[in-house]
Amino acid sequence: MSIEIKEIALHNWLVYRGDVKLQFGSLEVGRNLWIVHGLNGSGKTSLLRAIQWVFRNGRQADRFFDGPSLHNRDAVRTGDLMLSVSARFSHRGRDCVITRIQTAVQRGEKLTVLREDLRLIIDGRDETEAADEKLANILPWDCQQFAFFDGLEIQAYAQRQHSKETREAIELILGIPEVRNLRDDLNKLSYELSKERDDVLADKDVYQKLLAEKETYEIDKSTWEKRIKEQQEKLNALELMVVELRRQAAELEQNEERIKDLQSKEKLASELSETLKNLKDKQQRLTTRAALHLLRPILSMRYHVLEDEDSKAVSVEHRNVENAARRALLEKTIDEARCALCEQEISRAVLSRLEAKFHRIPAAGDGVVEQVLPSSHRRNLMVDLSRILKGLDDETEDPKGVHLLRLEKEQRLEEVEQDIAKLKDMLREHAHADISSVFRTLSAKEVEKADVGHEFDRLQNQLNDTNKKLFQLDKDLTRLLAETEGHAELEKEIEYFHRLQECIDEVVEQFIQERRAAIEAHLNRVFRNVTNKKEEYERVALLEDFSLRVVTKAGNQIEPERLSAGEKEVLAFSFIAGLNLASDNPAPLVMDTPFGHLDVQHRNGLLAALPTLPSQVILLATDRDIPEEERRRFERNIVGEFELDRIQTEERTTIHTI
Amino acid sequence: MPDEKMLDRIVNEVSKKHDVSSDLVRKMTALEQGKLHLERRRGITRDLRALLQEELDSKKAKAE
Repeated sequence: MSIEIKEIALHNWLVYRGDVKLQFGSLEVGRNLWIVHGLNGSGKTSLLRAIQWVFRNGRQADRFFDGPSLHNRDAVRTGDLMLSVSARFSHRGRDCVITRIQTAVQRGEKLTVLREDLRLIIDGRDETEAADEKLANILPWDCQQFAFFDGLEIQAYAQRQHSKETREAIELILGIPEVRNLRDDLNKLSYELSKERDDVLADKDVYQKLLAEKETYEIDKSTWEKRIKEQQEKLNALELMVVELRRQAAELEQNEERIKDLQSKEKLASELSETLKNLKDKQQRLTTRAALHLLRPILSMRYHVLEDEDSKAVSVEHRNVENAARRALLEKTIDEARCALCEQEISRAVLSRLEAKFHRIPAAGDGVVEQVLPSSHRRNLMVDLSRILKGLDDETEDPKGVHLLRLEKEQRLEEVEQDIAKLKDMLREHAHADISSVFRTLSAKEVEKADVGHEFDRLQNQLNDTNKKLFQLDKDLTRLLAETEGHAELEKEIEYFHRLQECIDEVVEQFIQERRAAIEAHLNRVFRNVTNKKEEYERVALLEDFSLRVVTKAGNQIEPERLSAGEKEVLAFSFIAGLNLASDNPAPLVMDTPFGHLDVQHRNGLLAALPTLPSQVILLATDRDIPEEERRRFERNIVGEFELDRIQTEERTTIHTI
Repeated sequence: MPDEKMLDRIVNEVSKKHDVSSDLVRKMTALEQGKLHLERRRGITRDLRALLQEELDSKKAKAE
């Protein structure tokens, strides 16, 4: 590992009052993680800023460091107006200590920086004099953005185009400028050698003739170069236009999908509303019948009583009918004083006995019969009770289950309604867009771009031809040296130099291509492991300007802005990891809030990728970033842990080693 | 910092193709190392030429 932080020492830095130290132990293969745990506001970002500040190029302006005071407010209150941050680290086996000290003076309420000093010690030797330059060689300021960063801002690297500064920083990490510089310096040397040769040959006629010819070609060359530059600018502008139009066209095409989606979501919302209405009714019914469920044992008992009474009532009624018949027969017999069967007269004595018997038979409306409900009333009551009891038996639904189902449907409806609102918003944005006009413009611009491209190629060919002629003329001129006494050595030197120049050109081109291929391979390996869309995404393409495109299995390129915030973070992290893996001089990764918008699957994928990096990784994490069960899963990769403890009454944070 | 192994391999391949000394190319790339694009060292072309002449002298000495 090239750079490894061994210790960070802070003095009166932001929330860190007095002296605070973090000591990092040695790393091993697969054990490269350090975790600094801390809740929000406990000082994690202050720690990140301290590392950024101590490694910064002091001459470069920075909104944060040149803005509000970096001094601990408690220290300022007690008159201690000196702060410092010191980092001890190893770089390519050398022991380095860098210390940045800031002294301020208080004028009224305002704190003014008096001076800022940088001290650098390398292997015990004081290198303070050239500290800025040496530090820039160890870890260039522009490259620090890929080493010390906030996880929530990481997605900045997943954008459609990088700024010139970012592109240069990436090339710097890959070691491209150093190789490219050689080509530029050889061009300068080429100019010097040509001048020397021309001085020797100045008075020769052949030389003058060749020189005149060369000058004509030089004019041609500069014309071609100027026109190529113009065409290149046109091409770039058209490229941007076409990309934007394609995006608009895709957006409008997507609108048709959105309309379909909206219709299906509206249908779903209506179905959900209907289901919810039914569930509410059911819940209402269950509520009103809750009392019946409670009364069920009493109702059931009452039913059985009625049933019992009913069976008794049947025999009473039967007896009543019999009695009525007997009374009617006896009454008729007594009235007629004659036997109803044989019609013989009945004696007085017999009549008296019959009268006595008649009175012993109970008449309807008194006695036993009076005590039972009328059968129709009882039966109706039994039917009602039976229906209620059966209804209660049939009600198998659990009121709690109905309630949970209702909550689930309500939540789903809310989600669907939110989706509908979003879709309507998106559709409203393009309400006035004319899809056919966008496609017409796109098509026209693509044709224009192709035309400009052809012109560009034609000019490039012209330039190549001119360059070949110039090269040949140069060779011819150099050959003249051989015929000039005393200058054969210079001719040999220039001839060899030309071959060397061609060689270096090729080395530079091949090196740049291979470096790009290396970073692309590394970033793809990380991306494939971390993404949760392994079935959908094929790979990530690294474009000429180092911007990224996700390529789907169907072969379509997805521009970064069409990815979700979490996916952008995954893409950006894969890129940074790829850079780190491809770099010959990897810097430690210090990540604040490392998992920003990532879901659990992405977070776990990223956590699994960190130990594969060839550098030290320091995570400044909240309990939400790394829950305990996740921490345990990666315990074997953790070298050490710290905990930040914020003492709120004193506005002060202390650090404990866990 | 360029990837040393990668650069070394490319230098070997390409210098052979152009019939130039891979050692010279290596010395020249080493001369550029550690110098940033914004902070170039003065006299670099002079140093490069010295390397070139050194190489030609050594070739001449070998030929003699």
